Amino acid sequence: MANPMRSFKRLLAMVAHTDEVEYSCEQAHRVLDEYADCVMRGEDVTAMLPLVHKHLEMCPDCREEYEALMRIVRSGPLHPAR
Amino acid sequence: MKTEPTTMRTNTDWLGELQTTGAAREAALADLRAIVLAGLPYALSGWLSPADPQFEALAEDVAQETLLRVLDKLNSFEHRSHFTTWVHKIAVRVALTELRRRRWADTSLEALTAEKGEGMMMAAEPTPGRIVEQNDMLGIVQRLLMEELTHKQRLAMMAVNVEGMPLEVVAQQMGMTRNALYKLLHDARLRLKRRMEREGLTAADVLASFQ
Repeated sequence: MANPMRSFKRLLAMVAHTDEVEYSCEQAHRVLDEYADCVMRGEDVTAMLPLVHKHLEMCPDCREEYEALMRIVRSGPLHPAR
Repeated sequence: MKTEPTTMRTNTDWLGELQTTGAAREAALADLRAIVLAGLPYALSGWLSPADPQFEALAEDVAQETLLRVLDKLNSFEHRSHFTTWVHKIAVRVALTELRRRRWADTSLEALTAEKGEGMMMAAEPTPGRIVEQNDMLGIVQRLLMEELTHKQRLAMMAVNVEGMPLEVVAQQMGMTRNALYKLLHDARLRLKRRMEREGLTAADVLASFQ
């Protein structure tokens, strides 16, 4: 189990940053590949796909999946022509 | 293990070959499988080492399931990314779903509730070592959690935000989808935020008192 006080603070931070409208996991997952490729091209994803960016801050499962996907695309040779 | 496909394809090439029949389709499937398998060691870094005896079997299962899903969802590919990024995204979901299930197989929400009770912040209860203001804040937040959230919301928050359980595992145990669980947690956060504002507090204020 995580440190209780750290968990408490993280939860409060999440509450503080909660928006009225947030993407669901399905909505974020639908465009996660686009988001990852935008990051690879050095584009400003916070401006281009702000709701996905926000969801990845709020959802630990989707963040883990994004990080795993980025490890693959950053590995280079697996990234062929479009 | 084959690590690299022998051909480079555009998105259009991939879709064309996967939607055809015969040797071209088989070749595309074989290359796609190789691409998925080559990506998994990177994706699972920190989860499962390629040297682990479980890795190869898991990778084979993930590649198989990923190809099935890719073929099933081919028409939903929107050309907004590299086709292979889209495929890797599906593979990552398949792989992490299985690894989360294995990692948390022995943890049940029922046991968690029985052990820790309803108050999700029990573990962060006030202690004599903390200053009065912090103890007051913890008491207020604890009260708001009890008054504002449903049992289901408190349980989900405790499991995900305090215990660090994956949404996917919690959702499965609560009999809902991960999507529905995220919405439930979002609603819980919104309720708390609004209630704190009605009480003349903001989460940022409370947080600041703990810095």
